[in-house]
Amino acid sequence: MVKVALAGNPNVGKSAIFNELTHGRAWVGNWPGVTVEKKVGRAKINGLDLEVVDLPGIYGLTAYTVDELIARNYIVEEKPDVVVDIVNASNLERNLYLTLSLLEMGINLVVDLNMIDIAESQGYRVDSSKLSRLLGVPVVATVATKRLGIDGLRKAIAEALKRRGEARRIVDYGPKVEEAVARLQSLIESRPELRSLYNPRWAAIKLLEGDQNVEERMRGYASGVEVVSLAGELRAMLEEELGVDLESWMVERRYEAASRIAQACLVQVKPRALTFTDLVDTVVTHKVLGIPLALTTFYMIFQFAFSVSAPLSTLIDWLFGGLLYDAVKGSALPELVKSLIADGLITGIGSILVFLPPIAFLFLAVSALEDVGYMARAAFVVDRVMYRFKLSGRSMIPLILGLGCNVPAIMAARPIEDENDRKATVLVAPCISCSARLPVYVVLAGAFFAGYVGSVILGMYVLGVAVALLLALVFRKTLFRGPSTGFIMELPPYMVPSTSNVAIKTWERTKRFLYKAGTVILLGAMAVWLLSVTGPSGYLGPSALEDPMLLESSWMGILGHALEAVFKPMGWDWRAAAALLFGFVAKEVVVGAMAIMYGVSEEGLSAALRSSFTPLTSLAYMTFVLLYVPCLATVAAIKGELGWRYAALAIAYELALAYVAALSVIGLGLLLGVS
Amino acid sequence: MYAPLAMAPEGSYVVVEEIRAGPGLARRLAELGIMKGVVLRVVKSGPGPVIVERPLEGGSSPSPWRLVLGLGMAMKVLVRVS
Repeated sequence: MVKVALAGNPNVGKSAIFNELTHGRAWVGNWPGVTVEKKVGRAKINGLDLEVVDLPGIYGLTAYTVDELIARNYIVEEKPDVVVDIVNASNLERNLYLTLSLLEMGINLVVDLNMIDIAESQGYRVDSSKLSRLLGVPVVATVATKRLGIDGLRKAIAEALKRRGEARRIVDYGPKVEEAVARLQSLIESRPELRSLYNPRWAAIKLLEGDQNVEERMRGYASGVEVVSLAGELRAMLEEELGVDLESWMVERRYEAASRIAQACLVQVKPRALTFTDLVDTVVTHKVLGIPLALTTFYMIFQFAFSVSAPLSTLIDWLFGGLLYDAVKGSALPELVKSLIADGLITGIGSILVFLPPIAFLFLAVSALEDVGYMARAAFVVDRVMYRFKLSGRSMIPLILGLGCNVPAIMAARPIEDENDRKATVLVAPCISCSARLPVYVVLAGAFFAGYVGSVILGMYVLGVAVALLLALVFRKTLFRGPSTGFIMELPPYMVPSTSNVAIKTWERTKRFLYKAGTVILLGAMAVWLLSVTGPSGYLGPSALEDPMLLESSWMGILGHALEAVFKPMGWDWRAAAALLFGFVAKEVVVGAMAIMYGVSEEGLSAALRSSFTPLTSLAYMTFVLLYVPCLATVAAIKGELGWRYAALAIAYELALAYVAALSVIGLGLLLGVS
Repeated sequence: MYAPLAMAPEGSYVVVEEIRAGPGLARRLAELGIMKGVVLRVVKSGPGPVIVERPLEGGSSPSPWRLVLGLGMAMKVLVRVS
């Protein structure tokens, strides 16, 4: 199949172009060997079926970052027929740096000059025909968010498919370096086995830059070893002569060329005044106002997500917990099948779907704010605080999403460039109190702290954030030691978000959450059901789920009793302990499980709880629920990002932490003389 | 005497004189346009992260791009206040 790849810097509207070309006929996979997402779609141009691959957003083609290596390897190994380089017209110079790097690879390139509306609003336009002449490749102007110019882009791709790419020499590295490039190039070209590996001039340039990835691949051939060593000699010689690091020299020449071309193609239409972006940034990134503004924004995001979605959640709860459940229970199916479907399957699916509306709206709000450009500013503002805990502003979005659900939080840590920061963020994310823990607080605080429910709940959230940040500091000083590579991020100009872009982003995030959380939680719910209806004496029957006496003799009851001893110092009985086991599937299940085990309805739970908890032990219980083992789906997400070892570490540290914290609450309470 | 970018006063124009970082980091900064000789305007100064922009006067781009540099990063970029 004909392959078209999309390349470009971050923030250039690449995904909008991807969506326009594929009309949503796309799927997400992973690039081989790494957790970076690979988006692939199908498009039809002039009756021809195309495979469109969305390469990661990159600034250059070095081998230093995973994203850049992926993009490079894809181009080298998969040899796409056409690469569309999406260029942000409002930031021409920086974007052309990547364009020039791509052109050096000798690929069949089409330049898509996107966001020309933003450039115009900033008072200038780009002369696209001149740009095309200077680069020697077709240039198409588009405004992807308004669907302008997409047909032109399709035509340009169709035209380009008739051609083959050729390397263009646009960047001049100076006579001495060019001489060395030419020598290496002709040596590579004289060897058929090396000639086909890369574009020879590009390989020569990369070898002079000391690119380890290219060196390694070359060394796989006897003739390549010779080329690599010659490159090393030439590099040493040139560095001596020029008195600089050769790699920096090459980057600077490339940037100079990008600068020159950008300057030649930009036409100032009106003088640049203080832009809207300048104005808003003055307030939003203000030293004093910035943080309260960010906190207010986050608060509003949550208010929005939870208020708007509340009726939907109620509806889903009624549908699964009421209508479907009763329908199955009242049917003529055998008792075992009825219980399996109603208590296992429907309850399991229902418990995930109830969380879908608030999470989807949370994603919607975050995606919209990202599109507007605010999230980058918030990261800047928050960085000051995060830095004290050895994290960067980049960890902000994951931790915020964590307040909704820890699973998307962990997945949102992917773009964090610094490996240590990323790992620390993933590991501490489960401490952030997700919405599933809220029902537990509501019930317990409602039973014991009437009048102070709000404060107790808020306290739990604050405790979660504090623990997460402190733990990050501990992890960064022990497990993931070493300096942070630092935090560098572009601040894009503010924009009106595009509806389709935000909708697609929200949908993709929601879908991923459903898939990831759904499968795991469902399996977990089935396991819990099985452990509850069976025991050492064999099959107990589904009535175990309604009869506390019977449940006590199930595997679940036995496990609860075993745990009672462990939780003795906290004063929780076996039912509270067993409820925690249920909570491993999904934490909101804890409330339902307690209701089952105390043999009361959820409404009557408060009274039952008051007979077996004290205010102090309930506070300890809430603390434990906040911090103990993340739910199954979260563990699976950690495993997906960092592997089994770290998932095991997360379980271990959280259990220990929760135990110590709950015990401290008890100890502190006794010290203060409360019970 | 060059000062770290993190210490440059807000609103000042600075010239990048030296980048004290390993090749990977220097390369990353260069890709984003921060390299020796470049003129930057400090939009927000430290302590903490800084925001810099490529001003009209110093570059070709009439729309100055803006970058956030974390404190650690901003300490590694040495500048001369012009």
